[in-house]
Amino acid sequence: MAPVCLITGAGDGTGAACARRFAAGGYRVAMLARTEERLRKLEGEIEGSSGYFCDVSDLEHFTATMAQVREEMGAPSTAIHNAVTASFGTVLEADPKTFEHIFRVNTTALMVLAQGVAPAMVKAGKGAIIVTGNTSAWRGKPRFSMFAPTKAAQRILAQSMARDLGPKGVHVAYVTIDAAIDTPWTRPRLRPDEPDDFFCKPKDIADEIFHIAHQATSAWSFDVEIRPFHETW
Amino acid sequence: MANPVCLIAGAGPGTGGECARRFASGGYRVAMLARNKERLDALEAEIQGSRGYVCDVSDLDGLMATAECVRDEMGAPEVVVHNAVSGILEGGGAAKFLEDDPTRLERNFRVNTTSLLYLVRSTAPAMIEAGKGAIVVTGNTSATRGKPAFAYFAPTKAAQRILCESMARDLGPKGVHVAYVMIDAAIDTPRTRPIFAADKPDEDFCKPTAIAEEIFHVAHQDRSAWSFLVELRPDRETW
Repeated sequence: MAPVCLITGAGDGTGAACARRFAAGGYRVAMLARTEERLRKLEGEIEGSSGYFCDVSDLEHFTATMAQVREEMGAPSTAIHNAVTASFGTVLEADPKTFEHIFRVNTTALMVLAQGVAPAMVKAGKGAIIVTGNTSAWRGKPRFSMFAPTKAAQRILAQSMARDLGPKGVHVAYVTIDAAIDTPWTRPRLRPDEPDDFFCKPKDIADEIFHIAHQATSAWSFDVEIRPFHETW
Repeated sequence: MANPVCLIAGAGPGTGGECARRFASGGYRVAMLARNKERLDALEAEIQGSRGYVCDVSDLDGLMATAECVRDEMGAPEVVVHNAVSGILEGGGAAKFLEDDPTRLERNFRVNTTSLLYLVRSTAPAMIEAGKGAIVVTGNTSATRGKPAFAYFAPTKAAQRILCESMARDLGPKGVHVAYVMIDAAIDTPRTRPIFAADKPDEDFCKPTAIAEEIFHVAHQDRSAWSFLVELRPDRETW
């Protein structure tokens, strides 16, 4: 039976590209997202994939959805936490009420994901949990006051998990993408007039994630940085 | 002119209480926020010009109301020390993090990170208007690394540090100094001592008086040479 890969945040960008890449690599893919229509479209396109309507900020429903995936498809041997939310503005300008919701999606949901998928991985003695992050995990710029702290928390949570689960055969990795990702929704907002080269392409990110999920156990990465060749950093 | 006001959130028997003593002896009127009224009463009686405010910072409305109350009764704080913390002593429970309640992570985030956001939103505007002020936050090594036993704590301290960085970059040019003090050691308090190492010698611990001295120093650095990240550890700490 083909292994199962579970992906949260199967949107238009990295999530969908991961679904395609893991399907091409022989996985049956469980895609979690909030847009039913997009899920049906991806299901139609990607053989062996199943879409599950799920808002990961609803922790109980998220847990129930993972149980449903286990029942219908089997226990995932790979999980990718790509769901993300954000709001922007300086500490005095931003809406402080968004802060804890953002933490829930980016960080608490990762804990819930681990609780849902790691036990079976530990039992099998193998598995991979990969989290997509960005430079905000490392630094707090003024306009990212509501977002960067939650990504820093997410990375440190992933590190705690990695140190615990690694010796049990479960590989946890954190991919820091230092660039704008080329998706239908980022492009018009960030730089509509930039050349393709400006962006990190979801397909290439998905290739890297697939690679990390299959590293030899004697040489695992935890932190992985990715940026386009000409990004200023 | 009245002496400046220093607000301390988390005025417990350790770092918070010592900061209250240090800032008071440095000429401040100190507003102490804590959950324990008895302890606040004792500190108030001991420290001249200080006032205790019973406040659980995880109640954000209550925190905002208390900050307002401090402003009304004592004046706008020129220095804020955020020392309230949740989850450090119970961090050990997280060794079985796969079974624990994930919302525990959110409770710690509320106290360690969200309350800081709200406190700064309440106190920074007056500092900006005055063109000066200091916000000093006490953290620890969990802000930069995640050990398994701290899975429910370290992420919230990492978030706290990065929130401070974001604030420091924004408020610095407006004259407000934000600094993050990372204490890489067990702090010698009545609470931590029996938990960490009851039988260890005094020298193994970071002393609250020494930490308070450093915090006072950081809050008074010349603006041409401000620290953001300040690490503190005892001489003999392994790191």
